[in-house]
Amino acid sequence: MVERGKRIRFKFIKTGELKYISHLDLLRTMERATRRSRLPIRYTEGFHPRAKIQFASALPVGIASLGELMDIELTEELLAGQAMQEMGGQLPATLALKEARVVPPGEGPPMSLVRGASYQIRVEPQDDLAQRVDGWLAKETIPWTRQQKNKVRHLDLRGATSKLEVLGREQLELLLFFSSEATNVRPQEIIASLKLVPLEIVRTAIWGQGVLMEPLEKGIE
Amino acid sequence: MYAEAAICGIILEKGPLSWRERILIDQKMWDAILSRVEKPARYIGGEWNQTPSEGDLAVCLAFPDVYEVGMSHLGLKILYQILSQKPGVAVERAFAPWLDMERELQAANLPLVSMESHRPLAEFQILGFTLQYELSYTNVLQMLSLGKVPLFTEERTEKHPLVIAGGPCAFNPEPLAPFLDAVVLGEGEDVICEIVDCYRKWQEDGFSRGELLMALAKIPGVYVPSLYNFTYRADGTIEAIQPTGGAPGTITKRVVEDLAGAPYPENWLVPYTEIVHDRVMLEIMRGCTRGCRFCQAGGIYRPLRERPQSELLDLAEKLVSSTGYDEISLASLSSSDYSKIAELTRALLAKYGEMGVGVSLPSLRTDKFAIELAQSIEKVRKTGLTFAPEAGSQRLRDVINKGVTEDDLLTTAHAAFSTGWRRLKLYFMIGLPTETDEDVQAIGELARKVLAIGREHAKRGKGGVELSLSVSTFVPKPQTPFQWEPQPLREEIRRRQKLLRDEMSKTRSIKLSLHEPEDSFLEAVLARGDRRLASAILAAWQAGCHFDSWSEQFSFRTWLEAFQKTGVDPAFYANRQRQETEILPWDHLKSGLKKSFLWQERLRAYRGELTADCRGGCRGCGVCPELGVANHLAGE
Ligand code: SF4
Repeated sequence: MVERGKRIRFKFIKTGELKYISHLDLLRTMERATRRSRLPIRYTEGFHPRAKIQFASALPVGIASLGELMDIELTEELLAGQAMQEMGGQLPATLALKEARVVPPGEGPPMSLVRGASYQIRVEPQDDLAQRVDGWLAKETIPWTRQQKNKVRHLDLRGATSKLEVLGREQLELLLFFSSEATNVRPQEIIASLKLVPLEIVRTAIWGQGVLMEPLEKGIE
Repeated sequence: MYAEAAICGIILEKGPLSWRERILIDQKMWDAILSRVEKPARYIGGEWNQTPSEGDLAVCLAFPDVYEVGMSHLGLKILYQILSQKPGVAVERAFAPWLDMERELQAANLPLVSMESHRPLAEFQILGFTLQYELSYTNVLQMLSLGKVPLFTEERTEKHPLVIAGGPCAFNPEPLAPFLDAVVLGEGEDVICEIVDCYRKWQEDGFSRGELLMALAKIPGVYVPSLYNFTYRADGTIEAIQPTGGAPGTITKRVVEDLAGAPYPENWLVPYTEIVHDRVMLEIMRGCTRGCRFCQAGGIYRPLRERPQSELLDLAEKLVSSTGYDEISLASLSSSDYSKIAELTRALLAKYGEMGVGVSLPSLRTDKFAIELAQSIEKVRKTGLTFAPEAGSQRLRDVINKGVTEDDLLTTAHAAFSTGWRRLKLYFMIGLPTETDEDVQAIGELARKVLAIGREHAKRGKGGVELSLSVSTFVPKPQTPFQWEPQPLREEIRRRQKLLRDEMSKTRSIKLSLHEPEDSFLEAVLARGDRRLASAILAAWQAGCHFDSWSEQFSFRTWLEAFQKTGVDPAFYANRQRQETEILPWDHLKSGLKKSFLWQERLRAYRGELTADCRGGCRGCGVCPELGVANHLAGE
């Protein structure tokens, strides 16, 4: 087992009010944390050097997460645990690091490994929640258009859904497929097409097929 | 988050809710609101380095603009740091919520609350506003109103917060006089603690609010507007400014004698969302010795005080380590004037360059030295340079004492282009005293000369050059040699703008941006207004005006209607030539600059005579003897 390495993968959470910061805000926050920690971070070449930090997936604003993934690149080999301790000390509790693992050389960026993500969703209570979801799942395709500034994207919500389970009158568990080619479906869109009002959405894990670290060991292919 | 129901049950039996208890109940509502507003990250607080400050005396530092603007303000950070270290004081912040958040608060009947503990503004003991620019005045009313604080000083009782204000606009706070309990003139570092102590003593002694105001008026640098009576002549000018109840006849600004060892925000808050000045700011000096005649900041922040270099290096180390920012900005009114600027930048770059931390100089003089400095900072990445000749002709630059010659500018441009810069921006003003059409056209001629230099260099290298002109309208400010001057009428400003636009149409490759004359007109009205303007400000705010400094929010028509409704003639304030003997609304508020000096400077302006930088010898402005201070250079 590789203990030391120049690339470390962290699993971290994004909870509390920090779910309201954007992906760009998160990147800036992590970059500043690496600088505060004085970890030997590798910077990009060029006019405006940026710390080499890569995320597995961008989390939409307003969604909390219990299992985000990020890689940092170092200029010298470090123990994963040591890097986690130093970097973790520079982050708020709502962005705490949970696990760390050295990524072996040659391994692709975390983005390339992602195959999906699971969510816990709380909605305004509905007595017919189960029927609604059953009807929804019975369909072959559920076309959806997303208006993005001046672009319109056509998505298939049903095709992107691997699992949608009802837990009581107000809880749902959702597993979405991600693909590197197409635009990824957002959990809010599933909720909207079910005509439900979301109260809280938490991403519970990112799924992949690699054998690197929890939860990427569990593939969904 | 799931325990509210139980909590509700308990509190409801106890009767009225405290703000702390309400937070828990409102949390769910708050969460729902955050998920609906456009930029929720500006309301979440909890920034890195924020430490809870506990105490029974709660002070809220309020900035009348959005979070991203307010958090970029150094003065607020300094006062926040000082109060957070004062035992018994809980210091918090509040910013103006953007329109979508306002609507949410109003719909849910929630008051405006502080960032830290979500305490409603009305439940603070002291509420301190920063007045950075006149167009934020209506936001002060908006924040008071959203915070459920009575707007007028006379409506507030012992139960309400003490509403104070400071900042550059405090040198003429008259338009806001009926809304403010007290105003701090000058630098707040020492006086803020004296105010807090005075408040505490008053609270312990159980005196009335009137007695609190009297006690505050006795603190040097604190102005209590309600203790002064203004009488007016038939022509609308001021007849007399009379102190009442033993208040002092004049109030003199406070200054920190020496920046060496002066408090600095070491617990620098690092926002999660991007703010306007998203970097470490190192204040290298305060004040300016140059004496540009239109510039208010240059005068009111006198004398010049440079912070010692060793202290700055120490601060840089602390701030870079504690924030993780990738940029240190060397803040001051004229950064390249700092005596040891070359050594300082070199030392900072040597130390932090490796970590990907850059250095920036926000305000450069127009000279070759500035280019050499900029060159040492931006060896590779040449983003762009900005210079402010302010006027197009030499004659007019002499009038405003700008001390920059055409030769300086052209040499600077030459140095910039030859060392690889491709983007230059020049700042000018239209409407300065004595300006003629030739002066306006001279802006275009000067810009074309700069462009020609750039093109010559571009021919040798690769790529083109970009030159842009930003032209604002002159706003006469209190406590400057131009405080007596009229602002030209809006139609006249428009005519001169057209003249310049025509002039520039010959050279379309130069980008020209002109400010709306209406904004500058309102700024001119408010800057030199007296307390009779308060009713117009109130009426404009009631008609919906706020966020006036945001062009998409600014409604000039509404303002004109408010002036009309309240019988205020805005031209009386903006466009009138005042006489030497006229009593100005701020005559009792002393920046240290003598009125006779300012008048002499005005006469010199009309004669086109320069007044040299006072580093080379005192020019008699009055600040040093009046305040018992002196210019402090680093390394002296
Ligand atoms: S009193 Fe003299 S030295 Fe002091 S700021 Fe004024 S002109 Fe400069």
